[in-house]
Amino acid sequence: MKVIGEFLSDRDELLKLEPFTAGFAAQAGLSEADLFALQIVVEELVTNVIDYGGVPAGELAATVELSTESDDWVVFIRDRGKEYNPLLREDPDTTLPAEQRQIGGLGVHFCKKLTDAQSYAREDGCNVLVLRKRRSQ
Amino acid sequence: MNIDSRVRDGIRVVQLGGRMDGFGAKEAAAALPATDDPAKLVVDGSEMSYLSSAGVRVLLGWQKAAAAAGGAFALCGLQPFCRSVLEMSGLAGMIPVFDTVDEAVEELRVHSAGGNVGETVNTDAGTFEFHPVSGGGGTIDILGDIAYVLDCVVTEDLVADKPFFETEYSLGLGALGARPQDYLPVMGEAIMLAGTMVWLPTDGNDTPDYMIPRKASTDVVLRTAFNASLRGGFNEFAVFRAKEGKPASIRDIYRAVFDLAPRRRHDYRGVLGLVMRAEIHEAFGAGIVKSPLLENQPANGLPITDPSNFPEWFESDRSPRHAGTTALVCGVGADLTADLSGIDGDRLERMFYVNPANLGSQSEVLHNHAVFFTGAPPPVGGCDMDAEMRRVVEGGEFADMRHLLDQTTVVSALIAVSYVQEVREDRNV
Repeated sequence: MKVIGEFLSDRDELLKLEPFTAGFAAQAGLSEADLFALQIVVEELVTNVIDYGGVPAGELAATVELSTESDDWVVFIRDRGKEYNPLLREDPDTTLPAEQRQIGGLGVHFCKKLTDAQSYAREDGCNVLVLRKRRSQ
Repeated sequence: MNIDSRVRDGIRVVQLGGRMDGFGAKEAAAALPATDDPAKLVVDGSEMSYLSSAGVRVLLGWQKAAAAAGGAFALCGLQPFCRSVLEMSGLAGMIPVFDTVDEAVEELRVHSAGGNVGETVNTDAGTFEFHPVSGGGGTIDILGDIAYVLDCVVTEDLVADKPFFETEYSLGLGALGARPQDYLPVMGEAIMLAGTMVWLPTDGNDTPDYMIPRKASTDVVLRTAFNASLRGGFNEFAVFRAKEGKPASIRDIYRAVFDLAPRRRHDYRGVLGLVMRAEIHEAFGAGIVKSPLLENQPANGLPITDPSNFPEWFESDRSPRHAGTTALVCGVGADLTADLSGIDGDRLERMFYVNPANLGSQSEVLHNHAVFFTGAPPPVGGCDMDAEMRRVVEGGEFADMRHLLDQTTVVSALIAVSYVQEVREDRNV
């Protein structure tokens, strides 16, 4: 099964993520633990695109497909933001003074931790991320 | 989200209800700007159904603001999911978490009531001025086993990838490197603190590798066969001064804190985590000089710490390595004269070994690693450990990193104390 959602470049769009992911999880019969992981993964990645993708406000930022394939659940995200592979290590930013340093890359770290496999491709001017996780029992 | 802010006993308690996601975090940050007198702040997460990295960043901002103002910050009532996100973020060691609002408020009220006026205690080692900060349950998270190192049985399968967090305080054995052939042959003593990772590669050069990841730090991993991380927040800070003309050893300092602990904490269980900025009189260090891989196992089948193998495997100071330096220390200790039954014994044994260089009576076992600096700016006073450490890292000249021997002597120190309640498996891998 598969559900598709489209999200505009606007932080208010984040309010749609919870019903979107919860609806899919209910249909797919995912466990509560899987739903939590799914929600974090989708929210972190969509938030990144909205906040940093550079898509003009109000335009389509990301298309998200949630599906199940045999024992896995799969998150497919295609965004029109500037080219960026979050799975790659970022270069250290040596320009920030200590006081301004924040934990960076935390959202991506969560995504990697909560899924079994991740892939990135740049296709037709879009970033395409696929994350896959074996269902919990 | 639903944000309910009230003041109880002079302490602001903010209940954040609903989803602390990218959207909710923005609302929460706007409702309580970090600059809005957050000196003592409790966040009640009992109605928080969700926490994302954006929410974690807002909590971290409040924590930093409270610390900078000489105050305190605590979380309480977190549901299991939000708690696991906090642990996944590596912040569990930085922010104390209580079960209930009452406990959090009580701890902040009682323990920060005196502001910066601390309680002074005189001991054989010197004078401790204690500043309690929180009653959070101190925890050591452990990865791997010191026995993998001592028995020289490390293989690729026994090596875990430990993410580096800005807020990490840990010690262990490991290496950086992309591929097993890069990191396995050079694993050595390692320490993480003050946003810095330092390790001593066993590549024959005896030169520590020093790194300050400034961004995306969760992408940096230490390949480790043994690591112990302090988590759960510190319970108190102590400004320590040795007696005039009589520097105190690391062992003396631990002994003094061990002896005071049952009176300071009713729930003391015989195990401490100490983090220090210490002004060193004389430093004695040690370091493993060969990677403890199975293929390197001594022919006599004995541990590498056995006297027959020790000289070949360890470089260990008989005379002071240097004097007058500043050390940033992360360590753990168990009081063998205390009742240790409240702590998982198997996990405890995974952290300690008796170094033949640490002769003498064994009323305690300690495991400390240290980074040394020269020319560090003097302490400004106060109890902001993070700030003191960063001043050393940024203002001093990096000199060395070692396993710290117990006979190292200290003139003065700012010490962060964690009264360890539990030793757990480290799941942040």
